[in-house]
This record gives sequence, structure tokens and C-alpha cells, in this order.
Amino acid sequence: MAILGRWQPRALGKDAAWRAWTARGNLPATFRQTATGESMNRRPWAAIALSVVLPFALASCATGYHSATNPLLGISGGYWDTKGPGSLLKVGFAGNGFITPDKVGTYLLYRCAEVAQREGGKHFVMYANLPAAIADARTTERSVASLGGKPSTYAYILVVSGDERDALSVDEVLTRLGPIVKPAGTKSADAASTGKGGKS
Amino acid sequence: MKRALPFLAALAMASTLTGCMSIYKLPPGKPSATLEVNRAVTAWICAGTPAQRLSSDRDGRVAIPAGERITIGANYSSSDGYMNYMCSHSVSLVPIAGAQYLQDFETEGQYCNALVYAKTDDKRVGLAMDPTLYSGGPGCTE
Repeated sequence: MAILGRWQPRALGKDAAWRAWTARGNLPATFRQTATGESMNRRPWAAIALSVVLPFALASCATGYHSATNPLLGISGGYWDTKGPGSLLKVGFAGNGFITPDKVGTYLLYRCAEVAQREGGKHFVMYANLPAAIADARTTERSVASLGGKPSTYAYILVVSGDERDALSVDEVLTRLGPIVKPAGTKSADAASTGKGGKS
Repeated sequence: MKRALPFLAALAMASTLTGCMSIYKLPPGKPSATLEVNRAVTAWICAGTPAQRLSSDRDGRVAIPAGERITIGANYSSSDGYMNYMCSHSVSLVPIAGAQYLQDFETEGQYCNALVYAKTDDKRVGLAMDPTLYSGGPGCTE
């Protein structure tokens, strides 16, 4: 009789790796969390100050669309990108506890289009992670997960020609999401960042 | 001082994760492969031994034994000032002598992974899944 319910290590070779990885649904190791902050009860003045500041913070401090390296706003998160491996570009967006996962996903897709444009492309394909890129398993949207209530996500993109399968149009993404990401009347916190190469 | 406490706590925990590990040294004369480790994490190896820390050169590369199943892992810790987050993940594989490998580390919500890929000449991704890769290692000897 076969032993049921006992975990067995499984070979993760070539295409089987991607199938096994995605079939599992989640990544295998989980974060452990421990508190490190001090009790607010020891500092009543802090609680009073917080009660005054918090309503304003709740109303206005969700991560906006700006670079994570922005010296002032970057403390709340933002977008970032790195080159490699190969011809891939890794693009990410990290939010704070006040931004919704949906918005983080929207910001990421918009930033992917901006990075593709910066690299001189008009179309790009998106991969959820490296195993997906190796298996050429393309996607058009990215799920967003949270740690400690802070949503963040990333994707790998590849600048391609327009006739590629599942290619996304830079112009189409920027036009469609522009009104959401950069509503009329708002000014980009770091407009210059879209014109620079490398990590932003 | 009080402001620094959360960060010192994170540092202490990171040290706890790696503090007992000795640094791995490839035995002389043993066939080897090259691993480019992820610098954001503490990379470690089990090659028929207890876990030992991988100390890379300036380019982030380190020699690992080839021709036998080894476990490559990563410990990661961070702090946002209120909470400390720790995650550890490992894989096992049988490296090929002379081949080059890349250790990647990703976090996704409450999960993390530290996969090891074989480097290739492919210009699109430049990586391939190693056919001997297992999720999770066989365990390290005590």
C-alpha cells in the first residue's frame, strides 16, 4: 500500500519545474514575523500625537506613483527596476499599508510600459517570475501579495516586436491606465525618472 | 538609541540565523562548479556537512562541489521598524563540473524562494532550470 500524505521531494527539471511550481500555487517557505516596536502605553504623548496625525495620514499617505528612490516620497515605497538576467528587465512596485493591492497591480503594469518605452520598445511581454520567463509562459496581469499589510509585486518584462504572442502595446497601456495612474492636474513627483536608464 | 532598537533587533536576528555557521571551503582537488550568490541574503550550503555559509568573491561568485547532490539555501531577514520578517528556503541539485549557476531570491507576500538556475548562452533569459533541481533539500547533517 502506498504511503499517502507523506511529502516526497520531486524533480524540478526543465518544463516540469514550471508546472510543478505553478501547480503548487504558492512558494514553499513562509515568513516568520516578530514584533520589535515598543508599547505605545509607555509613551502616552506618542499616542496623543498619533491620534492627531493619523486621520490626515489615513487620508493622504497611500503610496503614490513615484520612484522608490525618491528621497522624500520613497519612504512609502514606489517603483523600481533592474536589468537582467539576459535581456529581461525586472520591474517592481512596493506599497505601504494604505494602498490597495489592485492599485499596486495597476501601477506595476503602467511602470512596465514606461520602462519598455524608456528602452526604446513599443511592445513588451510580461512574465510573473524567472521560471515563467525560462518556460516562456507569458502573462498580461500580475497578482499582488502583501506582507505585513503592505502589498508589493514585481514582473519580468522583455521588449519585443508587435507581432509576438501576448505582446502588450506600450501606447495602449499608457493610454488606458494613464488617467488612473496620473489623473489630470496631478504632477509627477519624479518626472525625470522615466528618461533615465538602469535602476530608478 | 531607542530608535535604533528595531534595527538592532533585526541585525541580531540575522546574526542568529547565520551566527553558528562556519564558512564553506571547497576541499582541494574536488571537481567544482561556480555559483553566483544573491547578495541580498545569507547564502549557505550543505555538502554532506552541516550548513555552512557561502562567502563569495567581489563578483559574488563562489566555488561549489560538483558531481554530488548538495543543498543551497538562503536566509533573509528584514525589518520595517515594527516587525521583523525572516524567511529561509533551500533547494538541492547535482552541479556539473565547470558549469555556472545563479542563486535567485524572491519574496511574494508571505512566501519566499531561493531557486538555483543553470546559466546558459541564451540571450533572452540566459538561464535554464537544472534537471536535477529538487524543491527542498535532503537535509543537512547535524
